[in-house]
Amino acid sequence: MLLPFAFSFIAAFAAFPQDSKPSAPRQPDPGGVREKLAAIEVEFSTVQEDFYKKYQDIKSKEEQAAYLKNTPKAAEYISKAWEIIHKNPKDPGVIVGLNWIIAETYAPGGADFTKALDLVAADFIDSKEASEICSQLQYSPIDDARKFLETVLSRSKLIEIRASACSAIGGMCMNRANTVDYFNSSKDKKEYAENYIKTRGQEAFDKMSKADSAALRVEAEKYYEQVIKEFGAVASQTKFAEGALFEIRNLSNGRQAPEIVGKDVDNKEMKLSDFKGKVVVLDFWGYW
Amino acid sequence: MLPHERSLVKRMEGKPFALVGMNSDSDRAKLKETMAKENITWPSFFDGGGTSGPIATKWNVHGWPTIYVIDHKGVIRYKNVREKAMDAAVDKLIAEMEAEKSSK
Repeated sequence: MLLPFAFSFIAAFAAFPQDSKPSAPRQPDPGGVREKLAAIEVEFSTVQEDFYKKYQDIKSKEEQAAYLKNTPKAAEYISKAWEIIHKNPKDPGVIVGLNWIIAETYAPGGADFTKALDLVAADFIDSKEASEICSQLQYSPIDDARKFLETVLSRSKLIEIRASACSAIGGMCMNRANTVDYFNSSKDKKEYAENYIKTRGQEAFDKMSKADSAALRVEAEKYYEQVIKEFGAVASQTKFAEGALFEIRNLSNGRQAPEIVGKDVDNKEMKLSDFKGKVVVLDFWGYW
Repeated sequence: MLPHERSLVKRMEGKPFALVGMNSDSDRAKLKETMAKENITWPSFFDGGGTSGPIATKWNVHGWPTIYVIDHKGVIRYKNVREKAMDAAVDKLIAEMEAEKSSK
């Protein structure tokens, strides 16, 4: 059910340094805001797991489609989280709930998404979760996500978090460029458009379908270069930016594929150029 | 993925086409067993036994599967096309190649 470009998992969660102020380890408090919010997240993911476990046993396509109409919705759990957040706005544990709400709503966005981002920007811009949120937002098609990242980039006190925001803006541009190219080359544009609108909303679709992927890649390059120039001290993000720049410059559509020299599964040498003269589907895969 | 790939390879038999895997599994011996069991007949690189192998790293691959479709001149033409879209991309590039040959 995922859109084809939404498969990536984020490998860029930056290793996070300890807070500069040493403090005694916090004892878990079962009645605490942090724990209550974490419990809501667990509750919802358990409901989802059960739902998809049952789905696996359904054989016919028609029954599957009918079943999926009752896919668990986060809305009810998000309301519960808001209740706790509103009662305890100054509790540092609130970030756990905001982080989760953002993860649940980053596409197609909406009022919960925007409100959660605003609160993070106001009170948690230097928290370790801010970095995680930035990485996640590169997959969001929503303008508020971009605005949030720019706020973090200009205002966070911590270099790791600014680096993460900068890298995520680059990632956002690149993901959009890839989506635009994918859409333009897709065989069944109508089906793709319907799926896109369903998961990400009409507004995001209109914007995507008019966007220029080459310009988006130029923009992505600019932010990745900034990561390397300004945030060279943050090794994980620099490495990520270097990889992304290599991809933009050497692996975009229309570029000559770089040579690959490696070993095949029998440990014999194999090269990509062994297949020159043929149309090649190169499939990065794993059996797991 | 696999059923579609098997049928694509079968459909392209005798055509100038190759499906080339870049595998990121950890255990080569186990992988060979899997390939026999799953009837994976096409060639695959073995990328050093993990998801952070040298080639996946260089190609900036963070999600699996990641697909590149490369034409007969070695130019990258499509990315991450699946199923029907992959078939369409391959058919188009094969047709391009044949048109080029016959115009020579």
